Amino acid sequence: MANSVLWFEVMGKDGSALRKFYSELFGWKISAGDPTSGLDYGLIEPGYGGLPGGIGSSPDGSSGHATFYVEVDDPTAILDRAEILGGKPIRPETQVPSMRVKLAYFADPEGHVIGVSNGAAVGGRGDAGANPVLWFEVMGKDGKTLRNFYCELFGWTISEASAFDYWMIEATGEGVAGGIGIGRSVPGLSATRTDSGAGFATFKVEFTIPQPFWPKPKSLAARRLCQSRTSQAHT
Amino acid sequence: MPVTDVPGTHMKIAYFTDPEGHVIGLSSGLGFWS
Repeated sequence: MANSVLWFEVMGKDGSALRKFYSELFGWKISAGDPTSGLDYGLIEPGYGGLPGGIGSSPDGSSGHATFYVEVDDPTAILDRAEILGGKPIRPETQVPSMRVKLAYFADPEGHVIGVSNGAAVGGRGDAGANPVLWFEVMGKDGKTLRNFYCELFGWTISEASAFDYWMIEATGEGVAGGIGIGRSVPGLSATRTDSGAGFATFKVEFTIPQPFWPKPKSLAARRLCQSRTSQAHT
Repeated sequence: MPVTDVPGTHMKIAYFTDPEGHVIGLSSGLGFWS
């Protein structure tokens, strides 16, 4: 298993209102959930090249989260490993009713909630539609701690980007690439309420048509910091 | 956070919060990485 990021999700107090908001904002096609059921969850058709996802109501009525899922062989084993590495299990492995999908959540050492799945996103990335989700991201306080945690947990290859305190995570398998950054170092971000210092985990929506003819920026393909669970190159 | 150019690249990024306060990123030019 490549430990690929294959799904994104928004869970909140009012799944119906959130689905309406995102469908109007991005033009996403989102299936209707059922607020009267125990699983009020709508599926988002993936945009061109992007990830599928879902928007729903939190089972506990909380404001929930916006996050991404990593597809893994054994969600429970990942939760156990995350705890050893300084994270915290949030929700134990749960079988989705009537589906061959298992889900779990953990919090990383800075408290960002991340999903792990087994059997999700079998349809793969989208072949049509605007505003695809092409990126995942964790913005926090301690780059070294976060890099080492995710590298050791998922075996991701993480490289340094020189534009600011940001590190690129190479895409694996059918998943999308992502990044780990220090929120306070991103121009403009520290001055907004989107980063109070604790940071966040999220996904990024590509809001214009991808332009593959653009040259790969050399400044973002710099020093490789972390490649595998056995790597000794952590800095 | 308003749309911001990433120095030395063609990329632009921005962030917003939805009605329940979740932070979501926007990007332009990240597509070819994924």
